[in-house]
Amino acid sequence: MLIKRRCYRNLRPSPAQEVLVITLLFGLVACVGPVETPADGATEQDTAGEHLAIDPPHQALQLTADEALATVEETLAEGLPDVLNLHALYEDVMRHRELGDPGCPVYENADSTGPNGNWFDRGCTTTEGWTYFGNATALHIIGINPDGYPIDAVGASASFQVTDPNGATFVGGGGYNLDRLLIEDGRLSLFGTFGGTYAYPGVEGWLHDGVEVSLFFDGELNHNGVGDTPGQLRIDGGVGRAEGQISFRELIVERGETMLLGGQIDLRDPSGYWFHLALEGSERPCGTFWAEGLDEREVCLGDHVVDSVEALVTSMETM
Amino acid sequence: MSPARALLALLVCVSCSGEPSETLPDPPQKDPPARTPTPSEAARYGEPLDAPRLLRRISLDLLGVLPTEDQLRRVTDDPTTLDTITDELLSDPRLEDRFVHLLNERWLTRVDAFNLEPWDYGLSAEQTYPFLRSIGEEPLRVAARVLVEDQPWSEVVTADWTMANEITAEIFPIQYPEGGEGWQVSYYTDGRPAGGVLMTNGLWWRYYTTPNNFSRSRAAALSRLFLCEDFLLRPISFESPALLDRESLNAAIREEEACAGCHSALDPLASALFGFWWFDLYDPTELSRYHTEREQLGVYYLETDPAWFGTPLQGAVDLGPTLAADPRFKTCAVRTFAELLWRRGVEVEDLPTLETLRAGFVAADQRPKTLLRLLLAGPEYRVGSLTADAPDEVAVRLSTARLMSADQLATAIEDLTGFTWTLEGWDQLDNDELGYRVLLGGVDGVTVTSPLRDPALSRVLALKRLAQGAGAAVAAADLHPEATTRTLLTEVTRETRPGDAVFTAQLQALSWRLYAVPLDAERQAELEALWTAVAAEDGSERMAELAWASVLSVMIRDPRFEVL
Repeated sequence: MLIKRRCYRNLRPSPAQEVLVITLLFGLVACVGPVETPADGATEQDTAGEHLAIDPPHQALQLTADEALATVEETLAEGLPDVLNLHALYEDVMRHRELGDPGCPVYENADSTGPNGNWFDRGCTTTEGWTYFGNATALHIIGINPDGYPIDAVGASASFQVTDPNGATFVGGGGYNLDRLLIEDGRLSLFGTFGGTYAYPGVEGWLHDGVEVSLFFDGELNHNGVGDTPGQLRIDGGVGRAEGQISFRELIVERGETMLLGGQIDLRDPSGYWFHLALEGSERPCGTFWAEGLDEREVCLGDHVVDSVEALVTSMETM
Repeated sequence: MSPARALLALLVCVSCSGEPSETLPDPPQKDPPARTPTPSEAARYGEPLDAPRLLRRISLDLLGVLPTEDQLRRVTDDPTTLDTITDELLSDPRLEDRFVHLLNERWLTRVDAFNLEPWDYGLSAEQTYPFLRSIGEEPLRVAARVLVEDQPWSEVVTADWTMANEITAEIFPIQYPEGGEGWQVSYYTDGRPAGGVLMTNGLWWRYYTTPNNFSRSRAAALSRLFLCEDFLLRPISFESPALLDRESLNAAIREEEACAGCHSALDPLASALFGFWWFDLYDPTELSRYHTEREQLGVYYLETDPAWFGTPLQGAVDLGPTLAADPRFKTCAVRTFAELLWRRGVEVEDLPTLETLRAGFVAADQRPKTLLRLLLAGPEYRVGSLTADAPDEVAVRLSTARLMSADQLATAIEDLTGFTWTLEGWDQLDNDELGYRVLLGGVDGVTVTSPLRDPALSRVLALKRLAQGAGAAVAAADLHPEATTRTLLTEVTRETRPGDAVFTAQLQALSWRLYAVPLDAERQAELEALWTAVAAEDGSERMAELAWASVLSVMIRDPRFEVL
């Protein structure tokens, strides 16, 4: 069916309005050239069409290439954020909820007794000394999907602060999901999103000092790491920690007898510009490293990056 | 060629000042011949306000208050002092607050609801109103500070600082001056790049994006606010494919010509805004911080790298400087200021005037006070009536009488009388949760986005209540036997009666103060009759107070008060 749509909100402009808009767009932009001297050093072309040739001033990078590579390692020294690990931790802290009416925190599904479900509270403290503030909707599904395949899926939408009896606060804001489906030949199909801001100084590892995360996963791995055909996992998105902020662009993890890394890893310079590392996908995690205004060079990653990716894949393939 | 196209071609040609066509001889390299300026409609058909009323308009527009008696006297004695007084007003610290309200009519960030509430940050319910205004005013305060310090307007989108007060300094990752009070220049500490208002939480709390919008609405807002280019006004038509998921949507955007017309520019722009991408739209930790690690998510979600209308961006860090370097930014600033001060939209007929204003603005290194001076001196701003031969369509286009905005009413009356209308901590003239901002003709920023230009019943009713409250407060305070200072009733006492010379002098002073217009005999008689009737109706010892309250209420409701 052919549907005609218009790309504006409510009213079609009158012909006169159209003329006005067109005139403003073309007339004003086109006709101001000779009077201007850019004061900020920017190159400015004031003629119609040419105004697109804008070359604003750029800042200098603050890190050297070596410092940037070291920062990538430091950022991943505590491992990559693991959504399964996070959800298990969430379930642990929510098992300390206090049942009753209204309960602490207040669960919308009043019959529930487990950690998952939907809760909301402006602040309550259990007799054990756990304090719950905020809200979350969480689920963990273990079962058989309609096609008969075993499935293990976790997911949550979170905006909470849970303080344990020791005074450590588990902060969760964002959302995540990871669906894992056991299909033919012992293969594990998975996809997921892990986004938000999380911290819990009450535990060791990647969550201790807090992390901002925006990761996307998609792939097929071998169930429990056992299989003849190499698994493959694609990772996109970013990880931000106090040490640095990195971003994956189609990072491809080939999971066979050896692990191969392809795709791109970027590191944010404090200036706001990014360093880029294009991995060649070979057995050694090496590739071309560059940034705007920096000569290309061949580099190899250290252990932290490889170890963190391997640990994450191991976690995901275990079901 | 259609008439519209012919008109377009003509206007473009007329408004061009220096780009020669191929058929014209080369222009001289220096000292181009001066064009004979075509008088604008306002210059041709408009009669300017007299000096006192023009001063009143300027004072209300710049500071939100009526001119003082001394200023009125100076400009009456010598109308040429108007420029001097205008400069004084431009140096008045109240300009900052006023500009926040004025620019809000365009940026629309002072809204009554955001995705988060005070309790999300552990603040009390009583802080709801200051919480909302603190968030919504952040970008406006940045622009207002640039204005009062007369920094180049480009600073608005390139500054490495923001404006914060005690509330935003507490809830956002902001370095606020130790011991500071109120709005102060401050600095985000979460690694966001410099970008002026483009890097403020306040702007993007107002213009948030949703999980399936992927920052496109923000990019459209950016274009609309800072380039005066509204993607939503581009008329297109296309065959609609299934657009139910991200992949099919992105495919349509790439493959459908009509879609690409907007999205080829919109999506790369949106791709530069993912540092403000939130994985939960209602979580304080997500909404408070800029997420540096997400800056490149546009590549994942939108399948495009950041770019500025075809020019690649290295990231969000390039956004502000690139915008500032775009000529449309300056053009839009001129247009925005003009529309706000002219109290009307820009018309085709205004293009030559805008061009002249732009040239002056750019020549002055984008100093906003220069632009304000140019605007305030122009016939479009000063017009107060029309010549007899003015065509009807000109009368429709030119705004000869302008209604005070809701914020102008609030500040003018507070300055005049000390009266403020509050309820449970909310300014009743500055909100629509409990108050009357929209009823008075203001914008709520979401459902009402343009201020009222013509009188309306709701405004009359709201103004009536405001005038009654102010009049009663003034009469009670000024006529109190032990009053040591007085605001408006400076001449009379409870014993003064119509017919007394002092009574007449009081009415004359009020007319001059409130309207910058001398009191005429007819109006004097009406007000005296009103006073007498109310006093007779009451008859108690408070009758003078009630009578003056009624007189003041009526004078404040008079169109001569609410019109500038």
